[in-house]
Amino acid sequence: MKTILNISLLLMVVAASAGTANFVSMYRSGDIDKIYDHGTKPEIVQASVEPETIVEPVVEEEVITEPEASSGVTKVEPKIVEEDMIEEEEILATTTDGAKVSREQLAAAPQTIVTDTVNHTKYAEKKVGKKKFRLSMYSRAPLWEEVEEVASADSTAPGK
Amino acid sequence: MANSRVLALRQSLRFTGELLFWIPIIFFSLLLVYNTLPYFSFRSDLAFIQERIKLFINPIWKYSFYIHIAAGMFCITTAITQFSSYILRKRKAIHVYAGRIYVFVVLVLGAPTGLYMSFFAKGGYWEKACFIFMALFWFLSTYMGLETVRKKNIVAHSHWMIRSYSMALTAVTFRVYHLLFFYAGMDHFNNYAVSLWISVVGNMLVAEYIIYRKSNSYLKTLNLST
Repeated sequence: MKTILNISLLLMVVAASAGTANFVSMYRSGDIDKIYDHGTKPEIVQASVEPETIVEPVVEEEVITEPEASSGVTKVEPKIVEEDMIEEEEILATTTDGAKVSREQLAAAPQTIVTDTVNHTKYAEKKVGKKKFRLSMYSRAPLWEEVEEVASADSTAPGK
Repeated sequence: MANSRVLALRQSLRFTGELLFWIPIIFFSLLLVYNTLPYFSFRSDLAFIQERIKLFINPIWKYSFYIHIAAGMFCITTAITQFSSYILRKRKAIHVYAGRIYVFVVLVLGAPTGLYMSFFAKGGYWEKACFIFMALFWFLSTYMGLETVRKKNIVAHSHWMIRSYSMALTAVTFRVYHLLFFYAGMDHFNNYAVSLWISVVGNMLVAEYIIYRKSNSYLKTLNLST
């Protein structure tokens, strides 16, 4: 019994030493913050770990104004744009004016908290150019999803 | 007559209370054991491992992980029998042998591997510190539980083992809180930290409360006998 107690104490000392040594070396190299990169940092899109998840077609918004509608309501119809797979890993979305949104741009963009009074909830959002990204609520790991605007900027434009 | 009725009512209330306390513990403990089984397929495509794939490359962490979860399974299952007064009175050998397995598994396998892995636990530095504290306290309480029973101090032994079991049960309570907060709509990262702290602090408080209650009743019996 005494032997087991001594062995267990020795094991605890070894575990503490090995843990501390590995932790210090990872801390010095900066790897300690990257262990759960894909799981803890919202700025990094989940797709960076699983590239197959971003091989989805990018949705480009195309505004079609119906002239016969007397109320001046505009409809937004999503148009699927197939992108090169290699480029997909670097580009998250293509804006309507053709500009690309990269992961770095998304990471650098300031995060805002938007209150949704209709659904009584709050969202974390980022805006890169004309594109808006929202932190997904349904993904276990943080995932910034592109927000598809229903109301177009044209519908609220002056003179309408 | 009225006195015997009150006593019977008290007994049935105590029995119901114990059932309400132990049934969820046993259910969630066995569920945890059941959920641990897939890891012994040694596949690396499981979500928990995928999240820690950078750590999984390190063989020390990898072997610590497998040893720790295997130890956890033994701890949880052997500890279930340890607090049964029936087993203690009628089948003491079960208590002794299951206790030996529990102590060996905690001191030699569970706590050292847990301590090593806690340096790389998910969350911030405070969460890592919490895991380190857990591993150390789990070890210390089990160690003290063994030392006290070796010195035939049964009261102190039961107290230390309650503390030890409260630390072992954090694996169960953490998942329960995590699930509850998930359905309450809390985001994943806050949920993780809050569930961790509540499970550790909450289990310790519950353990101390049980020890306090046991000590009180123990002191009462001493007063009656003198």
